[in-house]
Amino acid sequence: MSQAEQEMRNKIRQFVQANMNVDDDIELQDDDNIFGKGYVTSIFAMRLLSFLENLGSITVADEDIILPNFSSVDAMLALIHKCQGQAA
Amino acid sequence: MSTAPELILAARDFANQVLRPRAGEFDRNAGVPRDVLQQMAELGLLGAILPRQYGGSGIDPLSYGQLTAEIGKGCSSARALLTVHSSLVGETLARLGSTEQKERFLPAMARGEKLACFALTEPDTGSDAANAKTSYRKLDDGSFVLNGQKKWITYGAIADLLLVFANEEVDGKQVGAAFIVERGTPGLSTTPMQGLLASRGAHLAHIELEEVHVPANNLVGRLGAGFSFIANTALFYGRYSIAWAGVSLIEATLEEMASYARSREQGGKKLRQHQLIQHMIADAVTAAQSARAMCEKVGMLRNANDDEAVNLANIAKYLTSTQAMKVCTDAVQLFGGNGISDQYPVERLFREAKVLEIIEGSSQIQQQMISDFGVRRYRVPARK
Repeated sequence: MSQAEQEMRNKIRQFVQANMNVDDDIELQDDDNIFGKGYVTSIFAMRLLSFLENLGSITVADEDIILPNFSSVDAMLALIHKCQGQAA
Repeated sequence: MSTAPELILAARDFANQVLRPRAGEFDRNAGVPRDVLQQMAELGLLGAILPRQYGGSGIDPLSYGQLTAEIGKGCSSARALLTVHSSLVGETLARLGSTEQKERFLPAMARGEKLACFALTEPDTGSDAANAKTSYRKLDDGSFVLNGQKKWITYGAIADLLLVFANEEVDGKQVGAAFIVERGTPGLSTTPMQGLLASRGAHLAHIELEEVHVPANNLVGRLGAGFSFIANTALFYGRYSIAWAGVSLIEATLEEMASYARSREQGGKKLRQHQLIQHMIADAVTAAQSARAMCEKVGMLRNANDDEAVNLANIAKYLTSTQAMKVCTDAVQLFGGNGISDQYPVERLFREAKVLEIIEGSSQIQQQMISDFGVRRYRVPARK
């Protein structure tokens, strides 16, 4: 994993953690389904969309704006890569 | 296409010259007339926030908020069109609609040829909108069929385009979706609502959808994105608009209070010289200044595309709507018997203020979200 990818992963994780409505002893794993585990509500999804677009300097295509693409740190990183690949 | 300062000035002049003198008439006659709405469109107000490439003026969110407040000071029901047509539907389509949808709908919306409304609330679901009972089913050709009812839909009685939210149950889970339904579609009917405390001029309607066929290209976003992305994005824009609506009500009411307190005498001196009246006016001035400052802060965050705007929009909406209610309540008290007469604007402003505490997420929903935000933001990390 490149340093740039690791930094991006960390930023996504930090953003999610800063917005989780859970007690402090919960540690977010990169493959955790943040909606399924109740860490955040679906209201947070639209904020994630803007956050990822800013972070990755991307525009997420209409067909990719679906909850599974925002459900974990891994999924969000994959979405950024996909969008960057499409733009390249 | 106009600049932001030009549009704000146009909104102020229109509010002062057309809306404010007739706001009581619109309230009594249960509707802002279509020709007045068309004048707003011709001034560029309905397309102010919409992108330039789709016929709007593309002004920044802060300026758009200030424009909203100018219209709201003139007439709440006219301002309500900006909230539903431009913010809840227009901004959302510009953000999340397909290119084809933007090209098809936004220019006509900017020109006011097509008015839009936001059809989320139902007879049995308000705050719990994600569990809406209106249903859709997908046909083999990719089109959809909608069934259900919507209620309290602002401008629903006259809107040409309805952004309708519906669910389909799949494996025990609700899969939400948003659709543009065009007036005239067979099975769609709208009935104006009567007997309302306020928003009487805002063409509220009860909407029925009975086997309404919607083409595939009128699906906004993807199946499953209806509430998580489309509705929540729209409600963010809507809350921002309502926050500014609170500013407008506070300022309009304060102007009535100040003018009345300077002219009316009781006990041998002007009302403004009575200490308890000064208390109310001081509170109203403080509310006006703090409400506008808060909304300007959210507007600047939106201008900078800062995510913090979402949390602060909730706070701004809660702050300005509750303060508007307090200021308007004080205004009725200050006016005494005249305060409960429809011969004075404060009676109508008082009724309109109550609505702001209910729509686009009630005060209780805002408190819940603000509390969640607060315990995250202000917690002190545990010392080890």
